[in-house]
Amino acid sequence: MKFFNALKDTLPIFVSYFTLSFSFGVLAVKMGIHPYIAIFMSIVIYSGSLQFLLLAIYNKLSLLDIFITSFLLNFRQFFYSLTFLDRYKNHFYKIFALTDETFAILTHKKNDPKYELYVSILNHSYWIIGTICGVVFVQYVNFELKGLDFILISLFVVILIENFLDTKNFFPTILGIISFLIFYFLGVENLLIFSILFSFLIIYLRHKYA
Amino acid sequence: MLEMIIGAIANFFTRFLPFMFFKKHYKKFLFLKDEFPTVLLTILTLYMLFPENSNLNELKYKLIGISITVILHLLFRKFLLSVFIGSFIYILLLNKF
Repeated sequence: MKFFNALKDTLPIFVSYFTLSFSFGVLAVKMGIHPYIAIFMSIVIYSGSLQFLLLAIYNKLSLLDIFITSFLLNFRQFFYSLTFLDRYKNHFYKIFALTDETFAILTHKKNDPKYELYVSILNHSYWIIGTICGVVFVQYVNFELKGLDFILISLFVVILIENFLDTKNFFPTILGIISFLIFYFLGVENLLIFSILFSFLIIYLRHKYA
Repeated sequence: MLEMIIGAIANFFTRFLPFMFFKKHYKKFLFLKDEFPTVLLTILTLYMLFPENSNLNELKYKLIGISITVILHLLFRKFLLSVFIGSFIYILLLNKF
């Protein structure tokens, strides 16, 4: 019974996970990633924004920069885990599978270990199945399309709009724009890392002295 | 693909740190919770919008694609609709069908 409840509750997630991971599979292969590596990423990373970002930066940044950027991009998950600290105890898989959407479903429900596990497994499998379908799809339907990676930009823009509608707070966006523009016009080499560290410093100082 | 494994490890850390050794000290990091993710997302968006060797035409199409995404999202707030129609228009423009 709990399984069917989980199936019903995760159906909307199925639609968005499948579409998104399908696009990821297609894009990854188009960008020269081996199909098995694309599927492997969906199994062990299981984070849409990070997987798309990795496609965009993997051949541009150093390993250390990749680590820092990935860590900071998904730092919000730190707070999801924190919220579920007592609830999840030390259940390895459930902690691993705590994505934005899984968190969103579970955070409003009562503590129920079986149900949590079903929701986690179902969402994760939608993500993997979508990737596999995308990867297989490009093998058979060979098409040349430039600009598929734009999906990531519009994905981020939508997250930013949602965030803004939620918080009505302009400050982080403006700080991001300023940090980026400073180092963009200075023409520094590690643009990304410099602007991230700079904005981090500003946030820290603001927290400490304001 | 070392890069992907590094990304995976970084991702593991974000999910497991609270369970490993942050139970006592997490309060020190709470100030990052609200605003920093948005700052970072803004920077990443701009970084991908203005790559080092970008040409003007591509940038023009990107701005059109983003405007469509923004307008659709403000009108309908349907995540997949805004992302895919915005991207679709950009890809159409870029490939000049």
